[in-house]
Amino acid sequence: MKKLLIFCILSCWHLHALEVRSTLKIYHELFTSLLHTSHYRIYTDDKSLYTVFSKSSKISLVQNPSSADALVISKRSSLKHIPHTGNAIVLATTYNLLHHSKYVIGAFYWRKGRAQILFVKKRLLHLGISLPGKYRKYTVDAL
Amino acid sequence: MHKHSLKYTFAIMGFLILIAFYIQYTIEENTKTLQRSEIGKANQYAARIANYIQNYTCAPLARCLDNSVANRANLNKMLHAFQTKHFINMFVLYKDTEGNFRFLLDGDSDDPAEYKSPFFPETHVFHRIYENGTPQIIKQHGSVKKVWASLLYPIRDNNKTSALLVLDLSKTYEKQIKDFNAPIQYIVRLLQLFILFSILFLGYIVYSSYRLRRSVLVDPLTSAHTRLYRKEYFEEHQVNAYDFILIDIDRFIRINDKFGRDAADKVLQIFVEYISSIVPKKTEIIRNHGAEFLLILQKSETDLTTFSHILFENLSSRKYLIDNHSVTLTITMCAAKTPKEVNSFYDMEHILDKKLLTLKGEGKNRLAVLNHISHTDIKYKNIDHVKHAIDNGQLACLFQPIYDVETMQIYSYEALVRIKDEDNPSNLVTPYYFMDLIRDSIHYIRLSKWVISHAFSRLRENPTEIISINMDLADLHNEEMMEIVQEELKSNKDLAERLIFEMLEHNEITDFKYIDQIFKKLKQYGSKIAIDDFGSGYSNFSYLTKLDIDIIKIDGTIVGALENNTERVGAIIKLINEMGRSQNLKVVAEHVSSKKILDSLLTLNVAYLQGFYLGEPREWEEYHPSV
Repeated sequence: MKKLLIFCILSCWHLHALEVRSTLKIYHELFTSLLHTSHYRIYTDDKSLYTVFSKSSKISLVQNPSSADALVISKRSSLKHIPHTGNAIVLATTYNLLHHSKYVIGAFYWRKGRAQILFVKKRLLHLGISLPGKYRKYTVDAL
Repeated sequence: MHKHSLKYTFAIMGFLILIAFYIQYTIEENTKTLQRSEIGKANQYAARIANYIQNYTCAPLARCLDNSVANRANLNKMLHAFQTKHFINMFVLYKDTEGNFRFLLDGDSDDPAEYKSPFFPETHVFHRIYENGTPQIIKQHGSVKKVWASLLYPIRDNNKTSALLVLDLSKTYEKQIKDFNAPIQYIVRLLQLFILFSILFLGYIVYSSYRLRRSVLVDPLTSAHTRLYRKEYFEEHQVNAYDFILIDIDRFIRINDKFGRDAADKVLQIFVEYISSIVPKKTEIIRNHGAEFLLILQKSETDLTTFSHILFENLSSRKYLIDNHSVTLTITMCAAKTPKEVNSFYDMEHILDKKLLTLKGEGKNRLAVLNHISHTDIKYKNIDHVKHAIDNGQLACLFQPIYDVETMQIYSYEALVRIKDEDNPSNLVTPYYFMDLIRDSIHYIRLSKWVISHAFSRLRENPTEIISINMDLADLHNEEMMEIVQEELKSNKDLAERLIFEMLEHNEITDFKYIDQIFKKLKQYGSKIAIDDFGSGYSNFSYLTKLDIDIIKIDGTIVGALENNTERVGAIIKLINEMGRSQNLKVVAEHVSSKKILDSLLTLNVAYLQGFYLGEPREWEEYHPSV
């Protein structure tokens, strides 16, 4: 019975590790494409994401949004405190947040079990961000 | 393990493997069929939902839903109502003017997609189906969480897709379908395991049998095959497709005695290796026993005579180094070309053995090549065939006439036994082939009895005829034989006086007293005694002084010599004839094979003549047409 329990725990841990790895991989690609650097300072208000990002050697987590290269926001309340004039790009973890704030240029979230990446063309243009070819298909004119 | 058993074992193993594959294939096909059936159901399910949506909205769907928030809410509820643990997601998409999919409806009540929020499918198949309007199920990959497959069902208005209904089938559903066959799959796994173990076990048995079989069929010392292998070999191969060479190393025991067993074994190994290097590729080498080897050669591979001589020369000149001594072996070898008619190896073995024995008797270190062995040679120099013929009454008695020159009438007939060939009864085999084989056996006595009985029955049928039968002088020492002869004479007292015993000899008579007593016993019934082949071998004039004889038959080789040397041979015959006449003996010249011989014998005044020129051995009826 003990062995079975250990096996179950190990299996769950393994699955969790896989999910962390795949999430990190997507964010790495996103940050590299948007920030044109291989090492980036990230601010996030999402605790679970914080844990995920902390496992990356490329990501430096910052507590102050103003010192970040990119912000990953998952709470509407956080949008009030973020600097709107800085160079940091703002990404959301839900469609709602993207819809809600014009300062959020894109979002990465899960819908119907599928990973969704979404960017708003006007907002990208406003910040002078040019997306690599592989992300252009995820851009929309209007939400 | 016999070759056939091996074949059957491999067939069983193959069959078991096939069964294992078949069961596995059946189970997988069954699962796929079940999946297809469930997907078919999903398709029907989607069709009903699409139909429902179309019935409760107007066309085009996107515009219609734009105008009615309540309607959207109702349809979302309806979709939610259709969702089950198998159909985890149900949503409706449409394509905007930019060609991006956006949500119209979503049955998810916990985390519903926002109306007209974009949706980027993981595959281009969504676009294709949207364009061609044909429903399709697509299997999802690992990147889509909890979804096994998605059914994409286009909702069409006026032959144009206005929306795409998506039904996501859960991974648990797939597992459930797979688990449907799980108990059978479990049994199949056990069965496969059993089959695997059976195959391993069979493999082990086959390997063990192979090792055992090899130890029995291959001589461990020389690596030549054993006699048992030879037996099996000719169960599967036609004997007449092969020629044979029998090789015996002369006095091999001397190598053993002089250099020891290990050295002798080494010599045998080298000897066989050397033969292997000389003989054609497909030749089988059998170690019969000791230092005797049999080579089985394919007929087409080589000319037997040439090869035998080469082999003999090579083997005789080969030197072996034993304990710093150079030793040469002498061999006796007999090669035989197998006639077409032969179908038993033992017939050939018999011929080879006999010939090898003869060669060894003649002084060893010899080679004989038997190129022209007749079928009769093969068959009737084998005791088994002769015994079989006697047991089955395949016997014939021919009669050759002996003429009385004075009357020019037939005086008597010599009874000559023959064996009728089983395969060709018109082929009558002469005693030349088989008599030596059976001489000291019960078969000889049985054969003799048959001839005597046959002769008496002819005499009974023909009251004026006289018949002579052949008897070996050695038979007179055979109590059983003499009992039979005397019994026959007793039973046919009235006929005995017309029976002549022609005595043949293979050994010199030493006890004349005993022989004379026997002759007297035979003659007391009135039978007469003739000495056959007089003038040759041991038959000499001393017989005439010591034995009570009635007839002498001059040896056929002397008579035959008249053909070329009339004067000298004629003088000898004249001497025998005059001496016989002076003793009141009837003198018969046999082997009268030409007119010249006949004329010479008539000139010499020989009273009785016998031979092919006067009358061949024939069936009794041929000389007695009225009978």
